[in-house]
Amino acid sequence: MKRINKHKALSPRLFFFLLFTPCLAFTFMYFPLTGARVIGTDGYLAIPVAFGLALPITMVARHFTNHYPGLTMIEYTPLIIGKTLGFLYNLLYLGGLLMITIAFLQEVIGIAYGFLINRAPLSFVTLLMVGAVVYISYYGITSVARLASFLFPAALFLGVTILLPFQNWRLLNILPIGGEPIGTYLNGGIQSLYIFYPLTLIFQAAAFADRREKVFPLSLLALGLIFLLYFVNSIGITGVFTAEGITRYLWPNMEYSRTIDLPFFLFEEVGLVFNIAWGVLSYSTITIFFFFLAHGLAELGLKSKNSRNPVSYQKILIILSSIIAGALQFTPDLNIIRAHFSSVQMVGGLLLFGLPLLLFLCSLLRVYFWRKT
Amino acid sequence: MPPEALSHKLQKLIGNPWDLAHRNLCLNGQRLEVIYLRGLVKEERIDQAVIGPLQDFLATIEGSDQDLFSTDNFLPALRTATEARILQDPKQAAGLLLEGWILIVSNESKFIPALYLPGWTKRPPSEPPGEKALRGPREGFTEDLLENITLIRRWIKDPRLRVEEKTIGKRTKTKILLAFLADLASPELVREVHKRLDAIEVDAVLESGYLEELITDERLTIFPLIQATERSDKVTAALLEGRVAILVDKSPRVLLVPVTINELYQSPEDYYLGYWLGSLLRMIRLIGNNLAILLPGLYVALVQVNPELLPSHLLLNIAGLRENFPFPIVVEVLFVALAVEIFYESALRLPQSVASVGGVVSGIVLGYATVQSGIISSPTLVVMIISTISLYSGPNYDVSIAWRILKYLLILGSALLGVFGLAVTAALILAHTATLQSFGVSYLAPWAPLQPAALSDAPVRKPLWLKKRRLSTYRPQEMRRQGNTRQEDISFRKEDEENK
Repeated sequence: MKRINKHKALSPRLFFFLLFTPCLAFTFMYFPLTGARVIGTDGYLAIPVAFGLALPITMVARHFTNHYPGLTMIEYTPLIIGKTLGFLYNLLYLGGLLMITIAFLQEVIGIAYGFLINRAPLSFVTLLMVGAVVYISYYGITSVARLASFLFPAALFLGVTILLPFQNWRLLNILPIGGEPIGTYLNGGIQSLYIFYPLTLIFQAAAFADRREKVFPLSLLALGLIFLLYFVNSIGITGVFTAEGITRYLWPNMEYSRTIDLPFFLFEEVGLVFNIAWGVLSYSTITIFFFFLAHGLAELGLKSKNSRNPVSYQKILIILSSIIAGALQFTPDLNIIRAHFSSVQMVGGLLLFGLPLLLFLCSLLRVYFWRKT
Repeated sequence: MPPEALSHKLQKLIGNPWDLAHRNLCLNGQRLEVIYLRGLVKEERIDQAVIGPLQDFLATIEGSDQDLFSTDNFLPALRTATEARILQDPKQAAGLLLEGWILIVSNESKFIPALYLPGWTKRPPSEPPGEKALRGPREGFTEDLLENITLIRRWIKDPRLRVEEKTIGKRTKTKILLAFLADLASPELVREVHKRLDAIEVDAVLESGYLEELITDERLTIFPLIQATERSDKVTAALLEGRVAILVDKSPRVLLVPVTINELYQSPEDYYLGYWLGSLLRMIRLIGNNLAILLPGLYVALVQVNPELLPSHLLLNIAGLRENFPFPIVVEVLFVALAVEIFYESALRLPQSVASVGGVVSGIVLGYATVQSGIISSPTLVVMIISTISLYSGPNYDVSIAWRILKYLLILGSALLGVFGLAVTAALILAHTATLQSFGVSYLAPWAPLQPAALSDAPVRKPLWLKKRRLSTYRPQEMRRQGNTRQEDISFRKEDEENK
């Protein structure tokens, strides 16, 4: 069975794409909904607030990368809070990752099913998607990151496409600016924080980077680029649809891309190509989530009955994919998930961002007490 | 050893083949036997190149008590243009005999002199039919190893060009040569090539394709992870990038490692034609390849599964043209694709003149007839013809074949799930290529991992005066390729200005 050599598995560029692609694809299709619902006309201001709130995560990641070089969070947590607590912590953290993976898969399948293949059985689409994801995740982090890197043109295409509907943009639709109380913006920012959830992957991915000193600047670069793209997109979509208009759609960006009118284009609408570009980026994102989930579980050191060695991540990957494929058959449909979206967001936030912050505090306290004694 | 005794031993070792020649001689009172395999040696030159010098040598040592062919004596005194060796072991002698060496046996010596005088028929270097170029040398490799290495040596007159020999194949004892530039090729790469070749245990290597399959990184992939070429300029360019060439005796196809998929779409011709035209050719290949792979699948997806995505006027046109055609689009597409495959295979086996006539008949007459008879609609025919022609726009046949097969997967994916199926299948193929490596180099480089410096020479052709550094993709030891090539031009201009 293949084992991953963490040492120098990711060059700085591959590390960047490993963070950038999931951050871009994760909530791209529906993120303007939150800002528009919570804040209203200037809902796009939720993005800078969320960006500001996500920044400390990169700082925390930097702290851990410097203190525990070459170790993933799953490995250094027991060193900070002890074995039992560490195990529980890791289980909760990986549970959070599993939750957002399933939620994201549900979104991807929902879009594919709703717009492109509504005649195929849903179970078939799910199995196809999960099978395809397992195939690439099985080959390890380098292959997963290479795929993310190769799909950069698709990300570039999304970046360009969100500029094209500006032909229908109206300034009045985004006015007035700053008309709401500050608390509303803060609330909008907190609720939009889920956009940056994939950033939590730094805690695992940093261990694979061949140049540790680049982890922090590259994480900042990925975060900054995503912020810029989302912010421009958010302003654009509000200017085209108005905040009220955005809330009417399940996938506002899908509708946004449909407003592009390119004469002599091969397809009836650019939206299709937009959808496909996002689809392949999502595929890459899911492979990244799957890989880190399986690898994280493998690092917990679970052992099978007849073996002394911990179960390899490839075996876990296969078991995990079967569980996820099964779970997708029984999870409530997208509309119900959306109805409880804020709870999913909150739990996800607590597990993926809250836990590392807590661990950071524990780490500081540990150092403080160690120095004192 | 008396000549009869060695003859007997050889007979035991190699049987008594029909083409084994024994020439009994009596020169200067010495009884000698010249043994060789007819056809492998230049028989008409034996008298001049072997027997004459031998007679001269025997005249010089007349009356001496020493062993006739002792190493100290014989080799320096034998004045002959051919390579000579002194052997003691009859098994070794039999091995050389089978390679085309001439053995000389005397009852006065325990040694067996062997002289190399190869004489089998060779074809002269000619332009490889599968890798034609508008500009550039017309010489391709042949089946002769020496000839092939000479072709490379005529390009690279660098003392650091290393040529290392290996023998693989228990029965065929095929000679393999490894060529690389010692100060460019990464030592790890050279070691890895040696390691993989040494690990081979087969009884026969009949063509370089055998090695290609045995030393590849991933045996189950459809993509070529080793580049095979018959063009000497391509091999030379590869050596200058720090890659390793593997030459196999009796095979005109030289293997180059490592390789990236990007490399398979480049041709040395790109650099002979100027960078504008070179870049245009590369772009055309890229577009052609994508058209060839994606067009049939996209056509099936858009017309059969997702017609709502086509502009209405185009959809109506296609629907109008397909009226009264009985088969679904996917059947039509597969039917034409299969017919093209059959025509292609037939054209390869037919004589050239018949093949061109066959091409016209099948292409025009049959195409027209199938549309008229209501079997295949004309849009399907147009799509498939464009796809087929585009498939061979790339300079590498092996990668074209890979895409030729994968095209069917894309068609099936499209027929099942429309545009989504096409995207998923394409993403899967892409994912598969992302897992591939060729001798430690990512197959998708310089796209993934992204190497901006190398990427500047990937979709377009970088001007030669900007190619100051070698591609980092192959990790050469020395990155610097050239200095400032415009220096002379600049000084000339300065002089001109001063004169003014």
